[in-house]
Amino acid sequence: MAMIEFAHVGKRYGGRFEALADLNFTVQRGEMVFLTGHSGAGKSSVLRLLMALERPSRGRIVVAGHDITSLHVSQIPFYRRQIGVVYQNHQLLFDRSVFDNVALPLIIQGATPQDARRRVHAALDKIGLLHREKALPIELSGGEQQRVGIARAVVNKPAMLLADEPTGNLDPQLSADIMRLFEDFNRIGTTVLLASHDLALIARLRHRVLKLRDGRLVGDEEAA
Amino acid sequence: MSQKPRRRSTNDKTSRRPAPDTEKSRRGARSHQITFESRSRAWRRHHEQMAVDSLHRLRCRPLSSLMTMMAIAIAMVLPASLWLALGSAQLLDSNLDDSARMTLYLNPALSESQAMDITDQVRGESDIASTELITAAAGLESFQQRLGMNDALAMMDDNPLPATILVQPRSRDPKAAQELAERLGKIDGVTDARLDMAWLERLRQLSELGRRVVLAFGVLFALGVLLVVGNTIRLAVESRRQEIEVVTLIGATHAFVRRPFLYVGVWYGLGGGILALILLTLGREWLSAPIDMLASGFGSHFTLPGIGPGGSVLLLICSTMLGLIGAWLAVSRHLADISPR
Repeated sequence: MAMIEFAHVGKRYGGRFEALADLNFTVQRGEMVFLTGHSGAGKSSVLRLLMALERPSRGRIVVAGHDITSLHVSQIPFYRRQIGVVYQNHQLLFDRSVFDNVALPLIIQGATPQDARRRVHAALDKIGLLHREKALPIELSGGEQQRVGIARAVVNKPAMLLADEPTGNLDPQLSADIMRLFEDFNRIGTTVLLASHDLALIARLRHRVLKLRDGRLVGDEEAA
Repeated sequence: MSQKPRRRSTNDKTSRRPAPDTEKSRRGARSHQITFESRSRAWRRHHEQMAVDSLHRLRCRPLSSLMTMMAIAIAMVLPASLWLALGSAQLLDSNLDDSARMTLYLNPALSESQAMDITDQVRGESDIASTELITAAAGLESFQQRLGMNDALAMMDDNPLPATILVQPRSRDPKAAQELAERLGKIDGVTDARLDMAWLERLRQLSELGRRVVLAFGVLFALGVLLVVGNTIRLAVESRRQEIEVVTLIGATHAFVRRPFLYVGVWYGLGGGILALILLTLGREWLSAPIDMLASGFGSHFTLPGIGPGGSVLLLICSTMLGLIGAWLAVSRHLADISPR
């Protein structure tokens, strides 16, 4: 069953620049897929459309059977609660602790404090940072900050995990660790879509790769 | 949005995850569904937290918070004091006697019994509801009582005031009253017949003018409060732009994002209202001593009206609402900016 379906999706900015042109692809539930291409090829546009941060100029995007291109503004928050997103720059709040950062999605959804605490601890335990729950993000290394970002993305157990250059600022060893985390989540059924231009790393991991160039799909290599 | 993706992942996780403690993992799966009850409790909790948190943020910057509240207070004080001043002049009192009363001035040379004869004569005329004779002596006495000019009047040899008859016409029609005044003016011994209507009409116009001035000032200063709060909240939004972006990305509703700022607006409005009340009270204290002295000089017991408990509550409600609306407008503009296009 399809988790993500792009059908003839186009995105123009300012009426002229065409970021995506007639993009068609499908990602099945439980798949782990890399999205590659040069900067400006349209990776970020695909993710921004999937997060409902933007609407496509043309075409349809269906996620888990629902057309997200026609979502009303008031429905968008509830859609976003069902996807986890990891950012290159982490998007952590630096004025609150690691615990509070990871708990944020649960607070927004109205979980009880007890429930939130248990789930935050579980997520922090998974990424190996349980002992740093009281630390401020600024006290953590780049790799640790990225792991906190991942913990926040998975704390409410989303069906789909999106990541935009999650290893962009990390050295190869840390990058490999982060990728292993994504693979772990994928193994328990989470659909993972990762945008990255780290081709060496992608080649080692043997997953399906979607290759974009100038807003078009130029390659769709199944996992070897 | 459907629950499908979430439920699926829950099932996957509980079934595939190695679970050393079955009891624990089952509990995790169950509590994954966030109930309506839990959500409404969370909603209340978030309100409480944001109310306290926003107050704390204001306390962290006491000077700038105080300055904003002071600007609101000044904008509230001006129309409020104008309102009070008009109220004290009773111009806002709409139940002015709207009938056309007239005063007949009698020849000062007439004796008191002659004046009474004329009063009887007037009462005999048609269209008269009532008459009241104020003799020259009674007129002088009330004049002395009202104005406290005992000494000045005592120096005069004769009573300078004529006897007067107050006449209440039966008809309320200005034209008929005018005709009646002309007819009564021709009675022997009546030197002048004056209709009080013109004065009454002018007073009514003046009171209407006053009401409109207060309304215009009220609207202008309310707009001022909205701008002050709106601008302050806009800066607060600007300084927390990243936080808004992050919580929006992970599924915060507009209401959730708006809430802390609305509380900031409410606190600003309430604080501004309280400061306005303090300013009004201080201003009244400051003015009351010279006004008392001035009033006693005229033999009057006039005192400046206070705003009173009802007025205070109204002022606080107004300022709080203005703070809330100003904040709402500022945050909504920002939220519209970051909505998907």
